[in-house]
Parts: sequence; structure tokens; C-alpha cells
Amino acid sequence: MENIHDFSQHGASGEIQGRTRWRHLGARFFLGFIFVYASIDKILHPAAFAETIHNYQILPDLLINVAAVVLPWLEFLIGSLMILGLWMSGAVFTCNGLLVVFFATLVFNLARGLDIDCGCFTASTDPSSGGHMLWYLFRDGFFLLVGFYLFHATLFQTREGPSR
Amino acid sequence: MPQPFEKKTRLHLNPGKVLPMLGQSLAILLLAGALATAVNLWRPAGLSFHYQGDQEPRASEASEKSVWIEVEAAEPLFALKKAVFIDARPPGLYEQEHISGAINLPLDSFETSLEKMNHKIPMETMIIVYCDGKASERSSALAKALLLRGHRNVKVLEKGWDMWVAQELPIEAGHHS
Repeated sequence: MENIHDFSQHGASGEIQGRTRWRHLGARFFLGFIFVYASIDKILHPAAFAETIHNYQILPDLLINVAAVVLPWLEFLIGSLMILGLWMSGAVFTCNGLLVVFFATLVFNLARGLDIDCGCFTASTDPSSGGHMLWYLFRDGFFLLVGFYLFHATLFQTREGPSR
Repeated sequence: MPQPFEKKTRLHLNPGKVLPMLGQSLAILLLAGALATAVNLWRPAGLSFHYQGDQEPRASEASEKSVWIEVEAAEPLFALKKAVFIDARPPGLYEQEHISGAINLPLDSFETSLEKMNHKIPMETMIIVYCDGKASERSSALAKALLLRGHRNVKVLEKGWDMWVAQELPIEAGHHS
């Protein structure tokens, strides 16, 4: 007989269920607030953020301003939805998509030897406002891990059955 | 003898959540686009559709056009040794590779490094500062600091390191004193 356990809702015992729920809640609020916080300065200063995107030397000129205007609002929306617990599957999916793109971009630029400011939490291109690229990688890698955990907790289920 | 019962746990993507996930993601993207467009149109200083350099006016003295120098103009100065090249990048990047003969003056340790440099470079000597990318504030900030400290002839190399390497101009590795 198969027992289907929805990982996002049930556990083997009440204690496990409680711990899982707290972890899920913690991850949701952590990433949610990170995304909202990261979006604010970029929403207020889109021109400076466009310059940051230009410095990455990845997007063509045609897409730079579009990304500079839309991306912060996307971050704000995702963060807000995760904090409120609305549209969780969509919010977590797009959150992870963005985190993967950000991380890949950092790796790409580190490999190219580009010394640029991350632009993750501020639109400023002032060198003193940023940090070392390796620190950005470590930090964004951690965010990605939390994102993956949320992705599995929200969208995956465990299935138990006898071995065959 | 019956085999002991073994449980096997497998992780499955909940199929009932895939479509809602994709639908919600699309809705989020569209909503973000609509919000962003509405706010940008409402703003007096909203961005145009196409990116143009220097979209935001900057008070920095070093961002004025006259401070910039292109690689084509910098190359003869390099060949005739009529300018001192300063690398504004962190020491790690500088030691990997830098323009031949360039001095490293990272912004983080600007004060201490500049003290040593002032004794070697007269105030009227032309200085060309470079970094990664045309819009890099590191080079501009360093150039501004040098101007404020009395160096009268400071330029920022346009698209700095990238253009120098792209044109296969002389570079070297290690430390240069």
C-alpha cells in the first residue's frame, strides 16, 4: 500500500510537521524580505541601475533600460508574495529563476575578470558601496540554497511504498 | 522465509502544482511589467526605451567628457612614456595582469598608497587612470581624488582595461613599483 505524503503539508509526526513548517516559514520570510529590500533602491534610481547593468556587459543596449525598469518591480512583487504567502508556487519558481540568473552572471563576470559592483542591493556604481566578487558569490550561493529548499518544500512531495 | 518489509522514499514533483506554478509565474511577470511600465511613464524622469550612456547627470568632476581619453589617444602617450598609467582595480586583479608599467592604486587603500606615489610623480605629470568598463566609478572616483590633491593632468581611460586588452597592447603580470 502506498502512502502519499505531501512534504509541504504533512510529516511523519506532529513534531516533524511543526519543525518543517517553521523552516518553511523562515525561508519564505528570509528570501521575501531580501527581495523586497533589494528592490527598493533600484526602483528609486532606475538610471543608476541601468548603468550597473551596462557595466555587466551582457545585455544588448536595447534590453538594458527594460531590465533596469522591470527587474526591481519583479523582485518587489516576488518578495511581497512570499511574505504574504500568496501564489507561493509561482513566486518560488520565479524567485529561483532570478537567483540562478544572478548567480550565473556573477560567475560569468568573475571568469572574465570583470571588477564591477554587484548592483544586487543598490543601484549605485560607487565602488565603496559594493564588496569583493567572491563575497557576492558566497552570499548569492547561500540565497540560492535557501531558494532550492523552498522550491522543494513548496512543490515536491514524498512518496513511500514497499520496495519491489 | 518472507523478506522483511522495506520502505522506499522517493521525491516527486507534485503534478497538480506544475500548471498553477507556471500560470502564477506568468502572471507575476506580466504584473511586474505592467507596474514597471506604469510607474516609469508616470515619473517625470522616466527612462527611455533605449539605453543611452550618461542617462543620469552626475556631479562628479571626473565624469565630464574632457577627462576621458580613448585608447587610440592613450597609446602614443604610452609608447613615448609621456604618461603614468594607474590601475584602480584591486591588487589581486592588478597582479594577474595590468598595463605594462602601470602602478596599482586601489581605491580602498588610496590614502596610504598616494603618500608613497606623490614623491615619485610630479603634480604636472599626465596620469591616465584605468579600470574595467567605461562607466566604472572606480576610475572616475580615483581620478577625482587625484585632481583634488593637486595633480593637474588626470585622464580616465575610456573602456579601460577591456579596450587595452582587445587591442593587444602591452600588458604584464606581477607587481610594478
